[in-house]
Amino acid sequence: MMKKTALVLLVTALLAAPAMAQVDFSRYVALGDSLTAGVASGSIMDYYQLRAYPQLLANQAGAGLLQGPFVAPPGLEPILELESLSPLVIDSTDMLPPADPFAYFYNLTLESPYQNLGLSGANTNDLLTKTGNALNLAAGNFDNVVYDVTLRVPQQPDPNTGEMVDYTAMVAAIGQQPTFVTVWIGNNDVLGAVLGATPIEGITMTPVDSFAADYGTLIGGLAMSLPSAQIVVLDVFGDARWIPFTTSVSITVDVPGVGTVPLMGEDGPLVDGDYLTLPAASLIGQGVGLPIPGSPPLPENLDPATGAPGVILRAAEIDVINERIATFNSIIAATADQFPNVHLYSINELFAEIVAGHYQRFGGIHLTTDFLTGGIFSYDGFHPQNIGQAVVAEGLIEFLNENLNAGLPMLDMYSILTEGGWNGVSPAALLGGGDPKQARLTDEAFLQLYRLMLPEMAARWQTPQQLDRDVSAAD
Amino acid sequence: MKRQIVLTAVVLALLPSLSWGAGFALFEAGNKGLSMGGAMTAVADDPSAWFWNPAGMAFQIDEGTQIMAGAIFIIPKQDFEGEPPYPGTGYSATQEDLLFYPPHFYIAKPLNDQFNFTFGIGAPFGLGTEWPDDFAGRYISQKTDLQVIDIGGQLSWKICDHFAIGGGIDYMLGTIELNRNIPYIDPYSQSVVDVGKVTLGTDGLSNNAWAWNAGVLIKLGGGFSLGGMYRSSFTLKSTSASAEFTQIPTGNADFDALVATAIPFGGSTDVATVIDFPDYWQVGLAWSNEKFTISGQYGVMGWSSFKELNIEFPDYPYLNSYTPENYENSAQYRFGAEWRVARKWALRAGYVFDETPQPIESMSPLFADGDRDCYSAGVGYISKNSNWGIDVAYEYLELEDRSTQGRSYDGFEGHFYNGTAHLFGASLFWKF
Repeated sequence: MMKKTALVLLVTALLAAPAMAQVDFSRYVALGDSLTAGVASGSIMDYYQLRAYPQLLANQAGAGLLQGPFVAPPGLEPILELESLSPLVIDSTDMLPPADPFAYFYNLTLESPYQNLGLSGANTNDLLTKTGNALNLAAGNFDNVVYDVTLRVPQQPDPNTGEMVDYTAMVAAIGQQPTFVTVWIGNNDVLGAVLGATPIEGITMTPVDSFAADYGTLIGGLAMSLPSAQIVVLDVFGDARWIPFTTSVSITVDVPGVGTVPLMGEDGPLVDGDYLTLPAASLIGQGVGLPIPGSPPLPENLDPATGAPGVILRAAEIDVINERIATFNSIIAATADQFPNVHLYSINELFAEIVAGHYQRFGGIHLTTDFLTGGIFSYDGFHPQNIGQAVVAEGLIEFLNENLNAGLPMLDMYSILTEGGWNGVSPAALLGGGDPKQARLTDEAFLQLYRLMLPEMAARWQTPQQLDRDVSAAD
Repeated sequence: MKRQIVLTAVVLALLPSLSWGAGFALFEAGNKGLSMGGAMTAVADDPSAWFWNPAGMAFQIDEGTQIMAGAIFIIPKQDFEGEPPYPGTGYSATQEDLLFYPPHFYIAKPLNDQFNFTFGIGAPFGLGTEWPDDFAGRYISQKTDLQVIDIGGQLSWKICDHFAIGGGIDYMLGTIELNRNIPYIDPYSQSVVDVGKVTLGTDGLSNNAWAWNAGVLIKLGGGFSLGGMYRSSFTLKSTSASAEFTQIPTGNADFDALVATAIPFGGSTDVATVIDFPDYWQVGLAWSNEKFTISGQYGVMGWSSFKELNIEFPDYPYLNSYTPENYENSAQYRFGAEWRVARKWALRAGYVFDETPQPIESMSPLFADGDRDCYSAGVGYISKNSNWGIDVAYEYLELEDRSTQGRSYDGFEGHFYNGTAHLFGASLFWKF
């Protein structure tokens, strides 16, 4: 009887014991694009790299520092700063990068692979195919800088066969035999269409078949090569109209004596449901798109030949982009569903809540997707700043706790909300110095975002731009 | 009418702030009651019967005209420790030192040998919280001050030697002050900064409501008595409240100018608030002989009436705030005893378990409640010719430690603990 009682007590005690955490964070590798890399305000810089969601997650999991291609201030592409609100000027910092590439990319000589493999501008295929070589940087060649600083060696011997294989992001991830992996990729397979304001199959949007094949290869490869790892995939940011890059510029203008009238694009006036992207404001400031004689219309579409971006997203274009996002997200969900160790965290429920104003408040603080004053997005209108990264990390932690019993503590948001962004220059010193002809993102500021996100198009566009500038400088 | 306004103005001046009954009810109706844990509904043998049981006045007709006046000082304390996500672990704060002193005042006048009329002023509800200026919860509430004053007249009727009833009407006057800071994302620092302060206040006596009360007291024989009382619910609508916004400069003139376009700084704007106050019933059983009284009491406050705290700015609807409260009805268990050690002296003691009506979701810097244990003691003195006396009392109140458990409606998570209060006071009375 005594024995029986003891047994019952033991069983009860075992039942009452908290369920063991099912996620081993001891070796965490994050794959992704600029969102994973911590790009903010048009720049890759250590301040934001260290505040990207993978690092926040690692902090909560006690997994320590995720090594990555840390970039010293002013960042790769000098970081954007708010120079003044009235007039609204956002421009790159004047701070100069260190002349020595090893001081600029000060983690380049780390003798182990990086755990944060976020590659700015990468689409799904890039994680499977692209490699880098740090020697390029030493030689002063920055053409492939993101891959050169992140992957660093073009090939590595296969541990099983000894054969040299291309050292891609996927290979770099599997080689570390991680116990936990996050993959947030696919954004650049479609959001280039937002940046260039033009959905073009194969240029700004990856064809569905290619995406499905690449995504299946990537996730299937990871899941099967790392059978004991838990892999969490995040889906594509769900709506072209959720980012300030798309929603901050009014499609109408006040003309004295006429009233509020729609701005003009090459295909006619803008109507409800059309959107102007951030660089449009700079053009409008220069007299483009005004419904008055002599004002040239706003550029409608990206020109693949010259790389010149458009600034108008017509309602039909938004539909095409959003439909493609939905298709990609269903592919992502279906892929995740095939593997027991792959789990889908949909970022879209979280952002739909934020956009609808239903997101949780932090002690009376309300975060929105508004440009500059919403708290989530950085000065480029596309990438999150540290608060936005924390919002993603919070969502991910909640998901891991609910679905994988991870038992992670939530972030301490008071310190994150009040910490502030990187400020190389005291904003007070810049007050009143704005040029009234400039507005929103300057051309240079947009160009660096363009370089980070659509490097090939940007390279094509940069050449004539540079020529124009030289000519005007000569004038 | 003029006299009433003067009187209530005097009472208002006496009431800087109030606090400390479960929810924001106050039971500090007299010091005899305080020392006996408020187990007075079946006792009701002093003018505080105005609050505890109007029928009780009918059994005091032989005492002649009575006046009682007094106050109870309340010194509360509460600490806070943050939990994630906001403000997060490692954050802690302590409430500012506060002192409240709800007063009470009664005049009881027998009309004949069966009827008695009582006029009374009391403070049945009140709330006062104040946190340091830099408190992480300052965007919800930095300082709160709610006061309700009850001015009431009651008639009590001794139907026979064993049975009395009573009832009256209450004219409730309320004032509320809420202070909080306004957060905004500073586009320069890309972080949350304080851009302003809003002080929301009602205009003194302009918020009022009528309520009513009733009671019954039965002398069962053998020293036993049975009492019951009911106080009705009421709704205070503030029609002439206003809010004042004060800008806090951020150091960036163009950002400050942008903020000033959205928030009406420097002036006063109309505000509308509505608060539903609960009804309250108690039943008690007491036993007395020459030397001793022992009393027990059970009752419920109908806090489920307090569903939400809405603040609306008719001219600036985007500043409106709707805070769910979703209180639940809550029970009270009261026990008290008196030992008349000598003709002039009495010793008293009491205990209350006061259940909180507040769900953990609505705990916030505005108010964070918990179940209460109250231990009290007191002394009563009555003069040789019985025409005056004094009751003094002390109560130690302990508030349950509670955490919001990640469920706060305001997104303000943490553990409110070390909640205590010391209450002490004196009531003087005269009979003539």
